[in-house]
Amino acid sequence: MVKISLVITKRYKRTIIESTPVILMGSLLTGLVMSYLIIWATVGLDPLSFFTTFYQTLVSYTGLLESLLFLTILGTAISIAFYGSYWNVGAEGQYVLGMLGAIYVVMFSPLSGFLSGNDLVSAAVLKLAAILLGGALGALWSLIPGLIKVFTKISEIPIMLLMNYIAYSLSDYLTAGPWKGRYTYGYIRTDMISESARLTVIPGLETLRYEVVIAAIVVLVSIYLILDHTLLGLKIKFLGTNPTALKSSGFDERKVTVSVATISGFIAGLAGAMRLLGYDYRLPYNIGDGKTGFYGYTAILVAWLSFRDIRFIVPSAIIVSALSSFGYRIQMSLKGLLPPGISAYAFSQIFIGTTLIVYTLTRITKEFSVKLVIRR
Amino acid sequence: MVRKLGKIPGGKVRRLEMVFSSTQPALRVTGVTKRFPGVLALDRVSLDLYSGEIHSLLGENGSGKSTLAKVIAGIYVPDEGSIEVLGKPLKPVSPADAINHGIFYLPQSPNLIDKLTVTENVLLTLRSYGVMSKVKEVKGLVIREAQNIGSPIDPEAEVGKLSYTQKQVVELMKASLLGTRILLVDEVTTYLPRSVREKFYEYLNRLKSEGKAVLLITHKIPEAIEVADRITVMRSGKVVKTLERKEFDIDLIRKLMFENNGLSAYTAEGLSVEHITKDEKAVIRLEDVWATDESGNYALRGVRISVRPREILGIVGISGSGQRELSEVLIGLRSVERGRYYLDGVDVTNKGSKVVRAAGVGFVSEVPLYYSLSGDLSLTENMALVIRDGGLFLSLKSLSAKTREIMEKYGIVAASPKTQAKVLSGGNVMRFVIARELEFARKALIALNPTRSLDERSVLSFISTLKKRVRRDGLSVVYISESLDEVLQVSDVIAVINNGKIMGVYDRRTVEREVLEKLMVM
Repeated sequence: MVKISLVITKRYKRTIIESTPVILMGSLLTGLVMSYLIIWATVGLDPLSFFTTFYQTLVSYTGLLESLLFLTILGTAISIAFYGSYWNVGAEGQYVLGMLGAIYVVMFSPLSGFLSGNDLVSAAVLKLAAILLGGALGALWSLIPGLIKVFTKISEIPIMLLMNYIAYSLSDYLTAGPWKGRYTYGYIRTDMISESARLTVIPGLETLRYEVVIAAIVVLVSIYLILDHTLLGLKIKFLGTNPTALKSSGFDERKVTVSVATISGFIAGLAGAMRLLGYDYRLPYNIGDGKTGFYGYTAILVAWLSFRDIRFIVPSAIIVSALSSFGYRIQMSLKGLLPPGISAYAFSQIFIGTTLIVYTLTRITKEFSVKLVIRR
Repeated sequence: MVRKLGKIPGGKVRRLEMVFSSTQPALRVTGVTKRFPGVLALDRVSLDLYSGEIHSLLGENGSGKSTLAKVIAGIYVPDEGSIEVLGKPLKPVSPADAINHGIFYLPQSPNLIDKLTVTENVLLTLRSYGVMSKVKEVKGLVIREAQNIGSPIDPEAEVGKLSYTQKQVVELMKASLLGTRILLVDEVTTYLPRSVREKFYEYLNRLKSEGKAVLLITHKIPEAIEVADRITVMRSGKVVKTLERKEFDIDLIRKLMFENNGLSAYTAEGLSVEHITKDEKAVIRLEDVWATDESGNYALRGVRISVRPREILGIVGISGSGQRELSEVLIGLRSVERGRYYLDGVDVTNKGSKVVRAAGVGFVSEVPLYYSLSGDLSLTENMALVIRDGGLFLSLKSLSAKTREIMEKYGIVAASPKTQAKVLSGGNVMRFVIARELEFARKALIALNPTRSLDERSVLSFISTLKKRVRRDGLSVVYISESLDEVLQVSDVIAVINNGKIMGVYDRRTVEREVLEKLMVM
């Protein structure tokens, strides 16, 4: 029997490229060139329209800002989890739970009846309650695999991936059942939330909402402060780097894992709640069919790019949102050039793919040497 | 000079070789300088290493010995200076370069992959350097080499299950199979029990007689004197002097190593046995404690100990007698299957490390980067994990100042409190943990082979500080060690551990050394 194993050892010596910003930018440029070469080789797109499209993507920043903000919030949520070696790949599900919590508060809870008046105070209380319940449900959704990990030592990763689908199904069940809308022109979906419960559009920047901008800043700054200026942050860093030292110093690593899971899920739920109140206004049916924009998954890339360094969350979020938005734009230029059977969507993902591959390889070779061992 | 090579154990003369040792060194290091952020690790170091000699590189912790070896082995690139192998300049930029020139670095902690078997580990190394690749062939070689080294090893055994000694044998096999002419041995013998160490010296002598050059890095003076042909003493990144065999003198070497560092101040004070008040209650008490190791076998079998205030209980035993598990039980990392653990009269059995730590128990172990520190985090953060003032919030500024203060007090060499713990030399990491835990401990201290990676001066300084804390603050200490000499030097009461059992408890003042030795190995 042939057994192939990949042997990864930590490097003795450092490689030439050391700084994270250089690696980030280098991967972006190499990724762009590589993806152009792939597109050029397959469909022969001229370089001018390729790079003009890229330029246009960067210039039309308002479109970028929207996804940038959500990726920043979700990226921070996942990053704090990564700090504590809690591999939160369930942000997508937590995000959906956040949406459910928000719509419940503003549409179906007793609170919505009391506070339906159009005065500013009751609207603000309603929105705040919606966002907080969204966060709480996100935290609960992350806490389940967290507790399973702590008490049974079963990895959180597969459980979270499964729970993402449970979240989709739960949302679909509510949308098609108890929460099904009356004014939907025959579509299966919920009704729209009332105007007063919606987040505030920033005049002049129609894609942005005040509350989301504030939330992104608050989340980023508070996570930064937690990590560097609190005992909890210190415990999280030890949990991620040497849990034995944490234990031998008199701390319960299980409690720290649970805290990390809660914080991470809360922030992801927060993002979902804000998405619903600020952009979607209702729940669609078949939400798992790309209707979340897969933000919860895309944000894993953001956290991965910034790898355990909170300072690189925003740059990474910029790169990821620019690349995905570039992907959608390039689909237009590709119309008519594609051979039958190949979707423009596949091409739109090339940029993220190549950039991440280059980045990941550089990251890995920076710290590890990789060898293939074949046993016979 | 023409040297006739000695016989190999089989009795047959292997080959004759002419070694012009006086004219051309196997390895010549000239004016090598290496800087790390904030530290000048090597300051214009020059060294000649001849074929057919065992050359010992001696110096205290952080004197630059390991750095020099790593420069020769291509792990670090020197800032200045040159290296020549057999007269030809060598600019090693990677360990592979050095290996291709016949240089092999034997690190203190074996550089092996635990999940793979012995053969696979060896195969991996050979294949990396393009030597050979057939599994069967390598397996044969492994068996042969193991016999050659004098320590049989199962080629199919997973490396993770081998003892420290066996792992080093695997490293030696790699060295031998790669055709090593220059072997750099970095503090390897420090960890080995006496009998194994002697076998190891025998092997080094065999290499020497085969015309190979050995650079033996150590901080233990007797070891260097015992086995080396020449000794080069290093201090603060500089070569102080190279001594020929006839010049060897323990006092002279000690002076060269520690000059102006006040060694005598430590030896004079605080090393006498303390008076114990008999009727004081035990601070630490284990009653019939049973605990298993990772594979589920009993590592502790009914351990019964008690330590009073102002008392140092030395626990001595050969490596692997349950010392690690015992220390883990005492600090609350390992749960016990049976028996009780009382701390200051309170039952803390299986209550975890939180309760033990909260009572003011410090913990120093032989592997600080496993038990005590995170190598990726800064010294301040590592300090703050155990010593901090406030509650939920941390003031980095005051913690950093506190860390700097403790580092100065204990003479820890590092660029700044922001330095990552893993950047420090092995001895400094150990001293950092000792400093932190001594500052923290209010009630008791658990020490597991605490002096392993320390030089003589640091050992004395540690023991003297420990004794002072015991006398002044009434600290209780459980001092677990494999070194009988050290336990005799430190303890008030001595217990022998063997196969997870306490074989006997003796008063230091009346016990005979032979009695303890007998119990350790029976």
